[in-house]
Amino acid sequence: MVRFLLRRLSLLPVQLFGLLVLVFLLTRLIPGDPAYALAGGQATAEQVERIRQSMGLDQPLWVQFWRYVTGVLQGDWGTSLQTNSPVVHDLVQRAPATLLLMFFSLLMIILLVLLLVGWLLWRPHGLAHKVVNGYGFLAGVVPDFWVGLSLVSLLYVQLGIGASPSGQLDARLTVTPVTNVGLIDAAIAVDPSAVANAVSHLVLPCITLIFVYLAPVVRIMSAVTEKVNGSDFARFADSWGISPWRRIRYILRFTSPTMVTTLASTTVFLVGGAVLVETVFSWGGVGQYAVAAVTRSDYVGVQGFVLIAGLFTAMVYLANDLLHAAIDPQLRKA
Amino acid sequence: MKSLIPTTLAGKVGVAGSFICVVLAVIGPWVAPYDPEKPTVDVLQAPGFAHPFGTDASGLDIFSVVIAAFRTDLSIALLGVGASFVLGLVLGSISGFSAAGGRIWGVLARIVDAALDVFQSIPVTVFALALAAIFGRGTGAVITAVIFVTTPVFARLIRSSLNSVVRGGLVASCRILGLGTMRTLTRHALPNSVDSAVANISVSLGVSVLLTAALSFLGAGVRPPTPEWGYVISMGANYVATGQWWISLMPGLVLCLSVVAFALTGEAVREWLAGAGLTAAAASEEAALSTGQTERTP
Repeated sequence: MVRFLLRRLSLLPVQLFGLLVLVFLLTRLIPGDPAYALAGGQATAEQVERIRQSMGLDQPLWVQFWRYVTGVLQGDWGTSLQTNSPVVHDLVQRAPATLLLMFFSLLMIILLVLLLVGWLLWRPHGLAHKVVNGYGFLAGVVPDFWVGLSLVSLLYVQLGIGASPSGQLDARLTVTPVTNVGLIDAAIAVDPSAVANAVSHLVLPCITLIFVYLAPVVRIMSAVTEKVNGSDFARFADSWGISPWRRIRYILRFTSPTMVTTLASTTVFLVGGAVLVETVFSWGGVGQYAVAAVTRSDYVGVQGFVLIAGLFTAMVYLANDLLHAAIDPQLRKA
Repeated sequence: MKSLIPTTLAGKVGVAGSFICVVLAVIGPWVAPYDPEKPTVDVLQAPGFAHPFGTDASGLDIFSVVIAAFRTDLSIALLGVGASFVLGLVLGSISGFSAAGGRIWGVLARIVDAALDVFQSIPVTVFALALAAIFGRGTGAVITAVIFVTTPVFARLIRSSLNSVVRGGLVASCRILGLGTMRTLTRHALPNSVDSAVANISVSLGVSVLLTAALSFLGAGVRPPTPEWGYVISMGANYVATGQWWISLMPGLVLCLSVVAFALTGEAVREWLAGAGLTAAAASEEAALSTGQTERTP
């Protein structure tokens, strides 16, 4: 176990180095003079020159990279052009809102995939099969932002469910911002009506993410469990006459490594989903920040977002491998 | 020769739908009832006889824009996926055929494998956004994003079929016949390995359409006034909450239907190839059983 841990952890610096190179090159690949682009459209010649000096754009590339890396490690991720404040500050302020969205969606995805796969194992040939296949196909062909807009139109406008797609709380509510997450701030202020309001704002974006990102998980898990369902060990369990409950439990235990990996990649792809869904619902998280950065040519902001998304991805895959080792004894010995 | 008409209903619907999409991409801008770039006098009108999909806040006829957008979205998809297919063929060959090549080939294969892993672990939208930020919004950036996103899938499919072909003994038999590595690859191994990638073309076209729309929706894609589905959806997004749903939802519906058509066509192609006995698994078995037969394939 210790050897596995050490080997896996030694991979991390390599991954992070690769990420830093990639993110560094992002601004150096801008066609034309990066200093002009980074200074923004209205910059004067002196401002451009100052950026060239401060970023060391007149130095060799490896000096620039060294400067960038030491800056990032010291928490200096540059200054955003759109907000004029440090990118780290912007990201830290907005990340909790995105994480909340992802956390609730992921929680529901886990619950729903267990329910659907359990149903499929219970009645493999009936309605469950059709529902799972039909849903899996449908969710693969619809764009997530369009699902969000359709839900707003159908549930909010027509049926009055959920809240308007305008942030995490109604504008009329004033809650002291502590974490910049509507739900948590409302809870800290002990304001039940604000909490209810925050929850109603959470409903539609979460349903959107769940609808689109549950599908691949269900598709993979139903294929895997179907295979296991017909395997020798399942038939052997049947011949012993074990209860259906226990049978489902055994099969889920057996397929749990696949489940963990699928959920890990879903978590990573939820970051991409959050970008679109946050834009639809004006959520005010890092995703919306990144989109605004792209449309306003705020390269430093985009760079910061890609870096934080990359760090998140590396952490999720690390957690995935550690969980695997915890679940699968064969991996620990290898 | 097996009939080209799909046997299943889903396949027939898919192929017919894809055909309509292609036809509209060619003639779309000419058959649109209104000019897709010039507003009419009717502003924010609900779908009706004069405007089947309604009009937007400036008076643009949504139906005309949606019809004209087929050309934009499909040409991006065809260019992007075409380039991806070729690139995937090259990368997949490097990676999947390394067992038959020399030491340098092995090193190249390692690099390609690592690059494929990296690209598949980055969220698509994040990556495409970064590309759009560097190269500026526009058709070129969208096509580049499509290529980056769809190439790894082609490369992986080619790699895994090549692996099974190599394991099936085809390379060994070509060696015995005195054929060089490149000739073995291009004349014998690849023709037996492209099937799954060919079936994936149609699926990738759908992925490309979804990505193009997503980027334009975020303001990082095609430049207006070029008619594009995602851009129209973003124009209507602010009106959905106030009840003018048609601006966003109608273009999205057409987009979904065309992606469905591409997905079903992909399924039909897969079935057709399987029926013609040309799947990767079958090919490798064939190679193992009678190498003479694979020798004759064009």
